[in-house]
Amino acid sequence: MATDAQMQQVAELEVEMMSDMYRRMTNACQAKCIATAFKESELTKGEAVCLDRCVAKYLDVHEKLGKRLTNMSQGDEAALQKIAQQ
Amino acid sequence: MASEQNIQTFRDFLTQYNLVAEQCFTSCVNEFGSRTVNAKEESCANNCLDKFLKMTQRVSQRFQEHQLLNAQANGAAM
Repeated sequence: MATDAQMQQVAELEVEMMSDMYRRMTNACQAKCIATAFKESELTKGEAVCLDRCVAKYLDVHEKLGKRLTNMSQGDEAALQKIAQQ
Repeated sequence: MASEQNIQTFRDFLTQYNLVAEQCFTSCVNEFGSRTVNAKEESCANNCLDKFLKMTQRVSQRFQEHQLLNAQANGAAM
């Protein structure tokens, strides 16, 4: 049974993890898309398009891996329950 | 409270998840010709995740073995 305090903690945790993911995504896409020559201050068209696609791909990979992890832990839990029942 | 421990465990799990997602993305996705992840990238990411999990399990096992050996050595010395 989750208490209100626990629900609160989980909600805060989710916000924190979302921020963490956002930070990592920004770092990853900067590394992938932004050249380091810095000849000009504006984003080039290429950089802008790359960033758009990078964000889309990052979120997609993040979600897919999350689903895979969830499936794996559900499989583990089911196996553990089976063992417990024996 | 056991639930504090659970929250901490869950926090660690989520941090690892974010970390592996970042690492696998960085290693596997190298071209941005399109917005969608192709089959090769997806398979690379899946392999990356599986390998990461197996790696952490193995590291944990070896570490525990070392801890055990250390504890035994310390016990014998006393």
